[in-house]
Amino acid sequence: MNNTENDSNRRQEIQSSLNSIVESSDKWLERLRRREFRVRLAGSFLTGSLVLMAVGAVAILGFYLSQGEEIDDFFEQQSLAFQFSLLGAAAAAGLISGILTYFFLKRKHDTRMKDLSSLITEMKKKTNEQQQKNNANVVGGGEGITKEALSLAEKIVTLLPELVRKRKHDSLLFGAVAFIVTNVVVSNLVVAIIVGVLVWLYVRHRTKKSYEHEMSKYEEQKRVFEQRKRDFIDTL
Amino acid sequence: MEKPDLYVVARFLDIMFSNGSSMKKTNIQMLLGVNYPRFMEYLEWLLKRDLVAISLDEEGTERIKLTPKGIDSYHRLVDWIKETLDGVKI
Repeated sequence: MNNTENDSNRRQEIQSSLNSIVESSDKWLERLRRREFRVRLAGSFLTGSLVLMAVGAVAILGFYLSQGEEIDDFFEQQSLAFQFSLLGAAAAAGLISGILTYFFLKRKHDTRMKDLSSLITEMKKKTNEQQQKNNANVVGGGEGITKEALSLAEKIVTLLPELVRKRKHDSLLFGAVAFIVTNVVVSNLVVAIIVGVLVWLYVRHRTKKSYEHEMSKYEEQKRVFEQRKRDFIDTL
Repeated sequence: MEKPDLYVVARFLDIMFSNGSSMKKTNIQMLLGVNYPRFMEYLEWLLKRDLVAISLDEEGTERIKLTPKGIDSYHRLVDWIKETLDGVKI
């Protein structure tokens, strides 16, 4: 094999690695987006449900205290329309707060992912341009993606330990959601509390089990990345 | 230059690799986005390590080209980034 062929093969290998970097980055961002979406949904559902119950409870308590009657008598005296409007108001408050929480969290997540997202978009754009030039056999004028990829890898290894730290609080969220869902389905506060606590403990146990392992893995990954960054320059 | 910035070195190699053929200094400097003295520092650093080479074209203009060692280093850099990104799971 002569030098030109060797060079051409090496260039193809590099190009394929560059394409693979763009693909993995895209998949990584997609996985992160899916995870954030699940957290957003659970958070919004939880907030909505809590507001619904709180508004309902406050309204009932307010009327009850103002009229000084037994709670059963109080409800018997109210028309069905009043009871529905009370429920409707609580449901509307819950729904609105749920939607607001969703958009608030989305904004927060989007801000966090904005940098990653724009880096990947830039990489895709440059790779496509390079591909078109290669297809048209145009030499020159290309721009590589290594700087963006390097920056992306650095952002990712920094973000991962943060994500794992945040995941620690997810157990409480899942426990609360389990409590609310059970309470709605079974209509039994004691059963709902038991299910909520069990789910909380289970998720907490699972998260705790993997937390130490994942944290040390990601911290090590970050340390290795920084070390290799320094070593790379020294080996040139 | 004591310790060069890896990002600038990566970008330099990137530009040289993506353009394939040899390039004029001013073109590289423009794409690199650094001032001329800074560019010259990086160029000298890369020349000293045989990562790029200077040749003269028919008009006597200096042209910079990636050497086989430069391509090899760029390959290593790209593989390392790929390996890092492949290794991260959430």
